[in-house]
Amino acid sequence: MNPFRLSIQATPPQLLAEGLGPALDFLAARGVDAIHLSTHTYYGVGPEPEWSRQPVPPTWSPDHSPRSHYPGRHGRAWVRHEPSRFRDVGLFHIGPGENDPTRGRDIFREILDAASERGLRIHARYLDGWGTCRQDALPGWDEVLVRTLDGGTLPIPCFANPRVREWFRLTAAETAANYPELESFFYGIERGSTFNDVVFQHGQPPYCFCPCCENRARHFGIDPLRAREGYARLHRLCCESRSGNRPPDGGLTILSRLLVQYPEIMAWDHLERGGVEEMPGIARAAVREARPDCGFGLIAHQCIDPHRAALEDWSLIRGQADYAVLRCYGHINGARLVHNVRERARGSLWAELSEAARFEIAWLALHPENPPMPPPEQLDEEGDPPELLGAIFRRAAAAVGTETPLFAGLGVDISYPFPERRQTPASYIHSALGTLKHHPPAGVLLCREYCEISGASIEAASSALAGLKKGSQVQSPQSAALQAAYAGRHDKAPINHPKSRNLKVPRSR
Amino acid sequence: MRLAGIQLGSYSVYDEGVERCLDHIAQAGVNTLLPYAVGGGRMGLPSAVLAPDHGVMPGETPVTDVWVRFDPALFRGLALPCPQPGPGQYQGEDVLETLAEPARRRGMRLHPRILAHYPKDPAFSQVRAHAADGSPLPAKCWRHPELQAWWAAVVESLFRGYDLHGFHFGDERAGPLSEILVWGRRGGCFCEHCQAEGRRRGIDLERARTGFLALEAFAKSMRSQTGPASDGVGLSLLRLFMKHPEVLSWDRMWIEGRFALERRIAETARAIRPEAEIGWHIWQYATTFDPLAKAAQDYGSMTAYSSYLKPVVYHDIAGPRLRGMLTEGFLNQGLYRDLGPDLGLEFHRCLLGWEPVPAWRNWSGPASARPTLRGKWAAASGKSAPPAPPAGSMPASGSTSPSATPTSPAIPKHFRKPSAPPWEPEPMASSCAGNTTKCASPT
Repeated sequence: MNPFRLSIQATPPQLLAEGLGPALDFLAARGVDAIHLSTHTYYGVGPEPEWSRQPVPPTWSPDHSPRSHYPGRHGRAWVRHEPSRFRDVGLFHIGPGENDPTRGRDIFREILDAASERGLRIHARYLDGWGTCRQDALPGWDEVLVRTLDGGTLPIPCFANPRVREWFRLTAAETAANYPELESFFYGIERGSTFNDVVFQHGQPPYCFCPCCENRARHFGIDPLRAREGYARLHRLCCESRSGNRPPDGGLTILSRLLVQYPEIMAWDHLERGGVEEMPGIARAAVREARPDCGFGLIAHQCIDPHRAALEDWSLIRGQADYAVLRCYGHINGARLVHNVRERARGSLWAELSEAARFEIAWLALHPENPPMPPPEQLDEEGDPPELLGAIFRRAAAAVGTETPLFAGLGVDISYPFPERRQTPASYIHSALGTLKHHPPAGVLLCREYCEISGASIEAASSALAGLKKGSQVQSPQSAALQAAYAGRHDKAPINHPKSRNLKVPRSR
Repeated sequence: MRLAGIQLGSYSVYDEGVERCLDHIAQAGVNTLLPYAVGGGRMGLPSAVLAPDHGVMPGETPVTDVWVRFDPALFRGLALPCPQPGPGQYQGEDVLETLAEPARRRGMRLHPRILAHYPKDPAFSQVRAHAADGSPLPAKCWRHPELQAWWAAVVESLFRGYDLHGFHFGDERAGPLSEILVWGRRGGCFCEHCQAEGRRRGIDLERARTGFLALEAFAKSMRSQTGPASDGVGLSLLRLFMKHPEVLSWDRMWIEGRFALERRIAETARAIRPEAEIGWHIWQYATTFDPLAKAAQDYGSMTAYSSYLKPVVYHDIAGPRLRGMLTEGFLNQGLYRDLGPDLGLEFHRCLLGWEPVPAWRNWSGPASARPTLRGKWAAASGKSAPPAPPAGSMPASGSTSPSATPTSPAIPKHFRKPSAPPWEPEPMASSCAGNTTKCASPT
């Protein structure tokens, strides 16, 4: 049984604000058979940007969006949690606020029931974020955030911290157990690594130098003092580069020298990244233990930064999930690449390369098949050529292997630059999905959020997908793998589950 | 005192005659002689490519490989033998004794020179380095106590046996990362002494082994027709370092092993002659060609025990050499294979921290205005040279050999993808007239 053919990402308040029934009918009428529904939104906790306070933000799709916000849309858990279960770890979730009209209701349950009536399946979607993520706003979290060299914190949790792991284990297990209708728990992490962030991304100070990580490092034979020294020099180099002070020897030369002189830099990065890479295993084990019949899915990111792409090793997903979704934002990737190369790289160590060289190197790194690179202006305006999706998907499918069915996560109607709405042409969607005809995906997940995605784009994806299935003469390896992965599990699952809220959540071991 | 030195093959002292040779050198204001104490044989180059103004042409008979006398007593009890002059012209000559008085009269100082690829005695197989799977490598392991003791004895013998002002040591070998990624060979070392040091440093030996084997597999795939795994060279390599940071730790350990030996050499010399000037030869790969070797060449760490450093820049031939190196080594199934010539050069420039460099086509200058080895060789050998390629032409990335591409430039043999280990000297690629330091070595 296929967990979905055409699914869409959504967050509960989007559906509620539009009216649950009309919103779900809108989706079902356009061939959507599943929703990847956010269980928690810890992106956006904190101050709201000015544009989002408008009655109808410009990012919303004009053809189905509500005319006003739904209260409490920012930053909370949409599923119910039992706070007493989290008392031991001392880390808690945010529930509905004092004035939230959904206070006392289980809106996730309401959506599940309404979806079930329409034959729409629900997948729990949990995304660990970066950037606007403000996990420091959660109760008790200031103690488990990543630490910088000077002992300060950044607003993301340290995944090596046993308390964070246990909190997440409980969260995943309780979500799976409390909502037995859930098809799967779908997990993704939008996070780089300390080396990546210091050198290439946000110019963040190095992390995580919390006591937990330092003890872990000693256990693995890495000297924390040397790592601190190396990262301090690395950070200084990047800061000076951003301020326009090119070191006499050249920034990239110094970078390579630091990497050779301080192998602890990469060792620390590996250690910190290891904590991140262990999270899916924790989630999967928790979900399985709570509900053996619940599927587990993972996001495979298609990155627009070469260094970030190196971090995203798709082969790690192999065998770790019942399915994976390759998330491709092709329609805005071109514009993002242009911005990265022209603006963000300007103050980075890569600024020593000419702009043309930066473009070419980034393009080659991201597309080793070496397709012709469109002119930057065309990339900025039209996005990646839609034909690239086929090549990227084939590469990802080869990496995750046939034992993990791969779905295409097609980004459509994504605002860029924020909050400027960018409607994806139906022809682009048809062309992009059409390139998958020789290697059809198990299904398509429309990314980013329901409130942004237009009905026209959903219809285009649905018809392209139908054409894809029709045109496919052979059963794809993905479909075969999917059947094998789900054989004997979902067949036994009842269509209408009893609304059990008393399932036992496994205790911490 | 400002050092104005010149390297010289010791055979030149005898070919030209010591007085004539030193008079010639003195005219250039040279105040320090760096003759080979061991090694430094004839280059086998045709006379046409050698400096024409010495008045005496060098001979062609193979020469001996040891030019000084070592004290056997200092090598007693060591596993490695005392250097003995091998057969060849000038066997039994003592160049330091020959030079001592004539040099003193001219106010010249003596810094005998040794490159670490010497010696090739079979006894040295017991101090060979080992690859990650335990198989022996041609190179020697810095950390082997017997090798360290042997070098200490060599230096002690020199400073006890002669009135020297200094000593000049060089190693034309890059670390394991370069060996694997640039030279396409196996790299290490994983001998018992390196393993012990790795354990002392807390490096996970098994993970380091796994990382090196993965790196070697990557390098092999990089040099294959199809290239490395589907993600291309850059991403795959970065990912490999991220996954196996122990590789970098092990490479660092190797580098520090070399620094430790250099420090021991300096301390041994200064224990006998405290004012001895100890300098280090830094080969051109670590200054111009190999970004990994350059990154590893940590001048700051060397200053603590050094009197001077001699980084080889060879500016006048750097362009053609780099052109050949990039074409054959980096672009053609090497680290820059995905980039192509222009982008590869631009990337290389940034990795080495250079200011913008001229485009390829300007590197050699007009063919008529710049004599090439190809032309000189042809003149010397009486053979007709193949037609010169158009200036600025470069083979497309992925072409298999320069000879297969009619437009490819002449690539000096020394800078082709190495088939012989770098410790086997090969002929120089160009004359060095006009350099401060006379090039009598392959370096």
